[in-house]
Amino acid sequence: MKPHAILIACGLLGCQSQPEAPTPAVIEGDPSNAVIEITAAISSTLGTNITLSADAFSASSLVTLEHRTRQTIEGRPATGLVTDKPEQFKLVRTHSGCAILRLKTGERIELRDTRCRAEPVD
Amino acid sequence: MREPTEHIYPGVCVLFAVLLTQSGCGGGAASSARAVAAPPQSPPPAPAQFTLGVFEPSTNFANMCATARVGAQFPDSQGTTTDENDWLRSWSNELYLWYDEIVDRDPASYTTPQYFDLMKTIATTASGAPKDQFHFSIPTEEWEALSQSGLSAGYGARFSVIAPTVPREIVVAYIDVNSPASTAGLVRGVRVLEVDGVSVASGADVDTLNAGLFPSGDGEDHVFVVQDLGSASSRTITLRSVIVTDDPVRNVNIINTASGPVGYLFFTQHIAPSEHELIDAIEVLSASGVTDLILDIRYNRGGFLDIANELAYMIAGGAAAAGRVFSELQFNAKHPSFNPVTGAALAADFFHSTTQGFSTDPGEPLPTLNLSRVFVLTGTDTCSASEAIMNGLRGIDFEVIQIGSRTCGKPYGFYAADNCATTYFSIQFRSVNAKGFGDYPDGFSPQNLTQVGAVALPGCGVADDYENPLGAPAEARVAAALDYREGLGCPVATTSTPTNAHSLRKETTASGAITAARIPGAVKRQ
Repeated sequence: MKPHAILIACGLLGCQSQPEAPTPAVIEGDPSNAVIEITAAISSTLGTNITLSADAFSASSLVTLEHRTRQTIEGRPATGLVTDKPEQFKLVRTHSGCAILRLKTGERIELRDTRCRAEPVD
Repeated sequence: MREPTEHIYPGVCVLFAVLLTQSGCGGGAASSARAVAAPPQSPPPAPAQFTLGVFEPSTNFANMCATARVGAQFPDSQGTTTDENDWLRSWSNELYLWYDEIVDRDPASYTTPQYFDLMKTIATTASGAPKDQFHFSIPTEEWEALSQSGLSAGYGARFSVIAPTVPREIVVAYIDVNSPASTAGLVRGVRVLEVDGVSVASGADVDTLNAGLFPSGDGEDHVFVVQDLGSASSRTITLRSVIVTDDPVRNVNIINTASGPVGYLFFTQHIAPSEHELIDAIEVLSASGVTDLILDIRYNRGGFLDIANELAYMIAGGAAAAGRVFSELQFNAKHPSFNPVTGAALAADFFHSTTQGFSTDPGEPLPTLNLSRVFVLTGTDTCSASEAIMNGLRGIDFEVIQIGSRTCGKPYGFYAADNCATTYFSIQFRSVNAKGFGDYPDGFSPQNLTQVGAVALPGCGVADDYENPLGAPAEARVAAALDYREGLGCPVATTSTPTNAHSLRKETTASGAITAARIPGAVKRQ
């Protein structure tokens, strides 16, 4: 089918662009600036300081955040039996670029400068 | 139908929303929790009158602070120290597991830290230890800061606190390669004698010891005096902290024996990445056809109960564990049917046969070993979720053989609660297994040790062995497991006191070198 025929068909059938399912992604290239942007985005969303590793989202699309209370000699426990699920964020590639998904809420945070590529499948 | 006497605490739910995935508060977003605006200013309510045994709802006092934080992100309103104490008093009465063992005192008579310290039982366990050893608070700002799972500030050395009180004893349990610790020549078994000029054994300045051993951030320099294994002298080193990534599954090994391959798995933390790493490890062990597993959790202080559940399932396999109860939470007697924090109906947790999505896609089938027993290597750092593996498996009559020393005894958990810039941790539930058993506040102990109060398990008391690498067949606890497996019984128990600290002291030579509990030629069988 030629391009003009597609346009005609769309006009007749009321074509709608199908929303592209976000694809799990990892950072493309040097992660340093991307990690800074993602850290700021997640911190802003959660309203608290977060710390990511220098290579976060480079090998895996998924990052889990946990509370990290400091150990003490007296054996202060950081936690007891932990029954809740942690905050998790997934880097995804969308039709418009890269975004971070907050898995608990489905909230999507668009990233302006980060470049990403589809996460390699094992 | 909810029993009329049970209450969910909506005000508390708002505070907990930051912590919970599936809170019954209809949300769980931290940002929404912080979006709660300070109530409009109104004349302060008349101070609550203290009446012994009469408790107003804690929500009546929530966020009424002696020093109210300013800003729309804070829910604080101006209150008094007594208001903060009233909140602690009512909150503890509502949720503390042993609420009826708290001595009721006038909130107006104490500072808030003093009052919180009083909001717990003073009972002791059968061994004479405090029944509640897990009562603490930290600044909310510290609690709310999140890190990528596995990241922390440190030197790449895990310090094992063998004796937490004077005379203290701290040794290096293991280190990371290519870390400040390895560069400084630290290895397993090195003793820490001083930190920033404070004696580990006798120093009164515990804050300095904690600050040096467990730095709060990267780029901190701390001076250590250490004593190497076998050395009579000490040396001084300076360690600079870095952000390190903990590896929760550090060693997976196959030990070939005449009676078949034995798997060894060194597991140090129930953190999110461990789900993926444990699955990988079990797949390796399964492919190797292991006939037994030595699970080394001597330094594993716990974490996610769901990960303990998954590992227990992977060890036992579907035939033994599928459809069976792994654990069940029990709150205080006021809440027999509902989780008072989340509002969820209380129900047993079955063994997970699929991944829970901590570091994998959820719902994937778990690999299994389908064993009939497991050897667990334990110590006083074996806590919480690690003990839950043992208790959960015992609940389905799966054989758990314990090699090492007494575990810490923490079948408890809590939901962190924020009030007035402090986050409080107070025991709210216990976990029981399929048999309804969860009463091990003095821990589990190999049966050939004399450990008052501890739950005796089959196995052998063996002190930690710092002269051999973890996982090596010659390492004392691994060797004892291998020998026990061959029907050779146990070596002579190398500790008979409540902690292996004392046994280590017995084994410390005049030079200060720690000798292995397993001494060639001196091993006797029972």
